[in-house]
Amino acid sequence: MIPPKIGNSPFENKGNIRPMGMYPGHGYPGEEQPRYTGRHFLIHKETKGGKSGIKRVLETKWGFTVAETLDFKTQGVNEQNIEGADALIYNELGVTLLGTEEDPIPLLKSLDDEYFIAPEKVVYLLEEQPPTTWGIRTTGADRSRYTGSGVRLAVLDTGFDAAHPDFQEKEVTACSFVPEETGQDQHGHGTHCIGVAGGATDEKGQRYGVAPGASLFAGKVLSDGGRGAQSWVLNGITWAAKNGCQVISMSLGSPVQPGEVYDIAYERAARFALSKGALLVAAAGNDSDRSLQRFCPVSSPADCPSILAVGAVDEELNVANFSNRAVNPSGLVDFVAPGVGIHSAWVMPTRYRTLSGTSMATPHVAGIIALLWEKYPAATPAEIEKILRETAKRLPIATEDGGVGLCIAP
Amino acid sequence: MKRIIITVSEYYLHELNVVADELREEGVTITQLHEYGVIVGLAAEETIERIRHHKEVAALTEEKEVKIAPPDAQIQSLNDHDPSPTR
Repeated sequence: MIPPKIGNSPFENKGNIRPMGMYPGHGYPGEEQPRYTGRHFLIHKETKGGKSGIKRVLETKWGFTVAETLDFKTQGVNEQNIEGADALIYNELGVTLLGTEEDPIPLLKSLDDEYFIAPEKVVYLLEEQPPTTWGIRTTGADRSRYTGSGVRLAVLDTGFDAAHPDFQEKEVTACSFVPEETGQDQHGHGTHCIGVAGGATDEKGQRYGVAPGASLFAGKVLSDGGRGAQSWVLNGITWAAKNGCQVISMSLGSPVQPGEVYDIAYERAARFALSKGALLVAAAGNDSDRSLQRFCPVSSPADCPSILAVGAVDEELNVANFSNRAVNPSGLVDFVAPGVGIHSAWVMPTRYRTLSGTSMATPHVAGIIALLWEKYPAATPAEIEKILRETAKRLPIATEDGGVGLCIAP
Repeated sequence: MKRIIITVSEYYLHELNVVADELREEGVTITQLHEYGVIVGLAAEETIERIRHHKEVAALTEEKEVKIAPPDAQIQSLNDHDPSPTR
């Protein structure tokens, strides 16, 4: 049996290069990754058909030495063991490997109509992609050439774990607005969110951050117990805006009742931040339970007109069971982002956690906005928002649940 | 005394400090004065009722609490109350 030609030199088998025809031999001359080995399969149109017939024809008419897989019983077939054979019949499959350089077409013509020929392919290891979380992959952040470099991104939450190993090379400015607590995160939520927005890769090399090049601002507006006062959030928004942050991410909120209007103070703070060049994103909230037909309004401050509200989708791009809905006409959902089973950083020594929530979806959008700011540094917040809307992937989800759709990285 | 958030009407933003002084005279203890017209402070119920309808006051609310789920919760909910279902 001739060995398969799977070599990697460009002018493989120079003396016997076949003309390109129905059954190309080795791929194109000069091709470093040939598609075919030069051998062929003879395939019976029915799986179990004609096996004794083909052996007879190959042996008597063509003078082939024929091996069969039946001869091997439990022992695996290795071509080394059938070196002298010209063909190998796969008895169970109705397939015969023709291991010669003979042109198979005349052979085919000598058989009845029940066979066809196919060239044997060369198989390769699939190129390994560096691992990423599904959120990074689905939003396209892994394919973006932008990292948020030069962009200041603020996350207002429980603070940030300055001891986390993944952030040692990063620029993080922390400030606490919680009385008697420092910017150090003792809860974990803030570290998780800042990880999604601006983290990089974990200890196994898996990427979990959307904008790893952004300059991070961690504003602690929630206590280590996970509670905060509205005024602390206002302080955080003001601080981020005055420090040149172009994105302010808030994975927090207060529940809103049907018929309740958005909070004017938050709206006023948001407009101030916009006037300073920042876009604000906030979590739509997780109070809903769609399996029980319970749909709750978008939380505050996400329900403010000047703040982008983010809902959550799962890996199949279905709305997450808990993701809130635009029940109130002023509290719309603007976008959705990955928010189910999101792997990111957590306080040490736990180091990482996989969580679900619109809290996880929000920093995905914040990171994407940072990438957009890097791409369009001279744009206004309104222009960036417009691009975010235009490039969002439309999903078969109602607007009240999914807004414009899934945010996609530039 | 309640913690309140006052949003000053945009028409009076240019004289925010004057408005703040008037509120102090009415009995509001101001803890935070934001340049964009949001005032955080403390006031008694009677004071709140008196100032609520001043023309300079666009909105007056009691300060909300914001929450997230406890650290060990799998779904990091924004709050752990049981909200009433929608109609």
